[in-house]
This record gives sequence, structure tokens and C-alpha cells, in this order.
Amino acid sequence: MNYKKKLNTIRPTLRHKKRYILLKLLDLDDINKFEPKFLFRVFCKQFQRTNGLISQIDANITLLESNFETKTVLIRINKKYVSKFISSLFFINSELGSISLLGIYNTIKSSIKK
Amino acid sequence: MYFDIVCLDLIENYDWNLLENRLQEFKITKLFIFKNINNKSDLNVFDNVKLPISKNITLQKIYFSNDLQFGQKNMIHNSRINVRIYNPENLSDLSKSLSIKKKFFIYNPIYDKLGFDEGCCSLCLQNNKRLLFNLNSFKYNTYKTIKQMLFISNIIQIHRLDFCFASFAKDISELIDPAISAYFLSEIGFDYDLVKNRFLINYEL
Repeated sequence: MNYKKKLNTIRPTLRHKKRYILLKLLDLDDINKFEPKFLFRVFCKQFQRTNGLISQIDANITLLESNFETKTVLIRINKKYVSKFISSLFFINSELGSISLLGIYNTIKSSIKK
Repeated sequence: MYFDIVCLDLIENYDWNLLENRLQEFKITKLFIFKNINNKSDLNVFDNVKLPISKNITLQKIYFSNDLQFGQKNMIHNSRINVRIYNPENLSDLSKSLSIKKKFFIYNPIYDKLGFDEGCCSLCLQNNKRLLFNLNSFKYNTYKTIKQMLFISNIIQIHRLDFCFASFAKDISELIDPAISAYFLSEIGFDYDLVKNRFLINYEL
């Protein structure tokens, strides 16, 4: 008989901790370019260019929200790669225009409040 | 909160309201404006330029020159402008400027070959010089600038030289968020705690 083994919860020391980064895209006026897929591709490509393929995969970048009215984008990333991700935004001007860092948060709720 | 150094062309070519909004997004509340001055006519024109008035952003003129001799004669007499930047275009100009005992900034000592070494650091300390680097040179000459800065960042921090970064923007797309710049510089070899306060107004230029 095959018993389906239930996965235990991961120990806190082994779990990847996440951080939520809120960015504002100041120059992006075209609603077609504000598509999540396009933005996600640009961020990943730039991160890979500056830090390498393995770091990009390990960083686990996810685009959670993009709001065209406020021109803000919320990104989730592993805590270990926060400073590397933000440093990769330094070169992203040519594709997305000027970017402003609004904040780095521990939870999504705290990013919505501000 | 933050300050930045910007070219006069930026203010002349763009609407001030648009610029002000952009600067407020980046939390820049003090702006230093420069123009390349090599003649007396340039100096007169720069003196007569009227800067826009703003409630949220304070504006101040800076002296910037490629010509060391012209700069030396006028640095003493023009006491209205406190901040003086000299741009040495090659290694021989750099070594001449470092041996002068007056206090001023050296702009971006990054050349085709690595020129800023430990000897230059000790001269800077002796003769009261401070370094000013251009953030946009990372975008236009990426490979050369990063390669040299990886070396320069170490010796600057070991010798405890005074340094600063600014955008020197001529176009609105060249303005950079200081918060993002601080993270980027920490990847190049600078200590993040040391760099993050370098863009603040409290840091005296």
C-alpha cells in the first residue's frame, strides 16, 4: 500500500525569507508597456545581466501587483537578494525610464499602508 | 533630504515645474548647479543667470572648470561661490592639481588607464582635496568605470578620503534616485552604511 507522505512545514532557519519592494515608474505613460509580463521580463533580464543566471533563479522574483494609475509596482524577492536587485535597477533607465524606490517592506500589508 | 549636482542646461531646457516634481519624487531638496567655465565671459554669463525660485528646493551655483590656471586666479576672488570643482582631463593635470594646497573637489579621476593610486590618495589627504564621482559615467562607460572603481573604492576607504557621488545630469533621464545609487555602490565595494549618508543634505559639500 502506498501512503501519501504529507510534507512537513519547513523549519524557520531553512525557509527563504521574503521582502516586498515597492517601486514607482515615473516615465512609463504607455498602458501597453505597463503589462505585468513585460515588466517581469525586464526586471529578470536586468537582474540576470548584472548578477548571473543562478542568482536570478535563486532570488525568486515575483511581480505581485502593477497599478497604472499610481504607476507603482510591487515585487517579492528573497531577502538575501534585495540589495542586488535594487542595484540592478541602476541600469534599467533605457527600458523603463526613471524609477523611484518607495520602500522595502516585510509584509504586503505594510506596503499598502504607505 | 538629499542633494544633487546638475548642469545648467537641464534647467534651461526643461520646464521647472516638471523638474521640481521629478526631484520631489526622488526626495531631492537641494540642488547645486554647474556650468563648465574656462573664460571670463563664461564666468560673467554664469554669474548673471537667474535661478528659478522654489519653496521646496534650494538652488545654489557651483564653480566647475577644466582649466586649472584660470580656476586658480578666480577661486580666491570669487568668494560668492563656495564649492569649487576641478576636472583634470588627463593624468598630468591630475598630478598638478593634487600638489596644490588649496581646498577644492577633484572631479571623476577615471581615465583610459588606472591613474588614481595610493600616491594620489596620500597627496589628497595632505593637500585637503575631496573627490567627486559622476554616477552617469557608470552608464556611459560601464566596463571602464566599474573596473577602476573596484580598485579605487578600496583605497579610498582604507585611506579615509572624503568622497561624494552625484548625477551631473544634463537631461531629465539622467537623474537617479539616491536610494538606488546607494545600493549599487555597495555592490561595487563601498560600505553601505558609509555611502547611504553621502547623498544627504547634512553632508556638507
